[in-house]
Amino acid sequence: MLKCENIYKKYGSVVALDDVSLEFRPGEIVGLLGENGAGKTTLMKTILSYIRPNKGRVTLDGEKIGPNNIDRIAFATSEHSFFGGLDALEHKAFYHMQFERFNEKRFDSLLEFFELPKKTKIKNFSTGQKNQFEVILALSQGADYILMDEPFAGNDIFNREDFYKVLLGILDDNECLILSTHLIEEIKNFISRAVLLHKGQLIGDVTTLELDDKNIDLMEYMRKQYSYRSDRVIETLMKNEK
Amino acid sequence: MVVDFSKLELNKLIPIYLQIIRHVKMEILAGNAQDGFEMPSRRVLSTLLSVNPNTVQKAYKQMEEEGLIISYPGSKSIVVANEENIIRIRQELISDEVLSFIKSARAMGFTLDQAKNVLDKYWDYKGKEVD
Amino acid sequence: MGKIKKLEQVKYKVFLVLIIFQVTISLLSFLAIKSEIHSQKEKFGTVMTAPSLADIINYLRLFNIFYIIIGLLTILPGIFLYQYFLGSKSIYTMLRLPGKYSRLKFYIGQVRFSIKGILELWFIQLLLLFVVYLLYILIIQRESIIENHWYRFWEANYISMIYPFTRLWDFIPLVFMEVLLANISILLVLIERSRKRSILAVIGIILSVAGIYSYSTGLLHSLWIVPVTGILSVAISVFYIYKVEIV
Repeated sequence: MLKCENIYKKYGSVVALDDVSLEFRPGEIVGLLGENGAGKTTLMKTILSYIRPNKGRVTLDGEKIGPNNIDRIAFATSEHSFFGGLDALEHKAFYHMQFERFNEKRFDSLLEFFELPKKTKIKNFSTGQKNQFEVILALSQGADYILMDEPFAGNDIFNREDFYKVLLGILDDNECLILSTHLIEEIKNFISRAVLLHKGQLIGDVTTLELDDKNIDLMEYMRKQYSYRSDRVIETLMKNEK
Repeated sequence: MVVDFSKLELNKLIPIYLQIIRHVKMEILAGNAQDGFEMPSRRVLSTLLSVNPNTVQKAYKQMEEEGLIISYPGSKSIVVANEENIIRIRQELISDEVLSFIKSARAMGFTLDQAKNVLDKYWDYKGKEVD
Repeated sequence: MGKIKKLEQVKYKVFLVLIIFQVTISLLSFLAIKSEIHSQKEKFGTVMTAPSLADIINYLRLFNIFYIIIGLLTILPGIFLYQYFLGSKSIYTMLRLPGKYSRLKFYIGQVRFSIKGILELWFIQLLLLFVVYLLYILIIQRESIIENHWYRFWEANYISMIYPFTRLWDFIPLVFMEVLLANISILLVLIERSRKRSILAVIGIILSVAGIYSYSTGLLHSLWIVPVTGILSVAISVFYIYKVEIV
């Protein structure tokens, strides 16, 4: 289990994450949703220990995230974390050397599936191909928690639908995917759980099965959660006016 | 033989798991999914439909509860398209449709006799939309 | 990685060019001196004392290119690091590598090429000095060469700074000089990258410059200034690489 406990992070006077607590389990496909600046990327970077929170901590099966277990968390970002000057085979060799759980089979079959060239430097790929390669690396690392931060920026809708299918087909029950996106309509069938962030706060956490049971659509749920916030603001204002 | 889901197009009106169940029922009635046919594995179906495996799992569970399929641990699920099930499904689905038709007809001001006439008129209709 | 191999080949080619250039110029100057001595002898009958080899080297500025190459090798680690930290954002991968020492290895990977290059150049120039010295002895007549030329050569300021065989303790700061030089450009990149918390890196730069300055001018000629500043600045670089946050 990947656990975020009371994460608080401040940049200057801006509170990026305000007492956020979350638990992630194997087998989940989690949509991390929220507007720009809601704190999605900050949360991911905190989990990956790129950033240290002011308060709170992140643990993986009870242990702090460190050099011994960092390989159990993978990351794909639309900013691209690969080495532009290397080609696919060189990346494979590098990952094989660095990550003991690296899944060569999966890497090879995904490379083939997306029809990506093996000996071209990644910086010479198209944007769509770069996104695909970035995701391939994250999926092949051998991690059980895979974080993706808006990985499809620049891909057209047909590519994205391919992506979702590939992910559904390839993820096994031990893997947890945490996907940060603003394309809510697209991913609502794909995810099993939706986590909502707004201005650094956790304002929603619901499984899609729960939404089904109550016959509420995801968009509806989100609107409710957002307006719950603004309703409270209005309430408070009106109270003060009286 | 495996139950075919390739023609199932999902809409946004009713929950996905219900659409899956309905599709299976329709396939049974149409004779496409016969007794003993296999259901695709949950993973395969979730990939095919691009929906989360939990949704597929929920559909399968409910179908098991209704006795439409039987799941054997470790292997695929089998369709139970016996007489009892077929009759029940037929009644279930048709009453949904009929109630829907009656609601619309009433809202448009039809009497029962007028509605019956309409049914007679259109029963053999083979217009542009051939099913 | 493939790029390093290519760079290595370029480096050796540059060394080769350097050697050929230096040997040729030395040869030509010795021959010129020889004929000068010869014509002097004919004119005046006395034997002219040839300039010492150290003076010749100084005059020809033979070591200038040596220093230029050192300078280039010094900049390289920074360029390597820059490529990782900026541009392709592969730092996102580098900072996720498993293993306690992965970030240390990352640092070493940046400076390794440079340090190796500086070491190799040092040896090659040493061999070159021997070769050139041999040519000097062969070409210039015995009687023109001053007494104790061999020892005096190695004592010349210019030479003994880089090849301190007459003051063996000086090898200690010399070794740390290499490290200081290889590390400087990394500190510069770290300052650029960290911006807000770069005070420590600035201190690292000041220390490095102080170390290099004290060595090259012999101003604060203490055995320990260069090693201490060297170790501190490397520690600062490694500290940054362990502590850096990607915002």
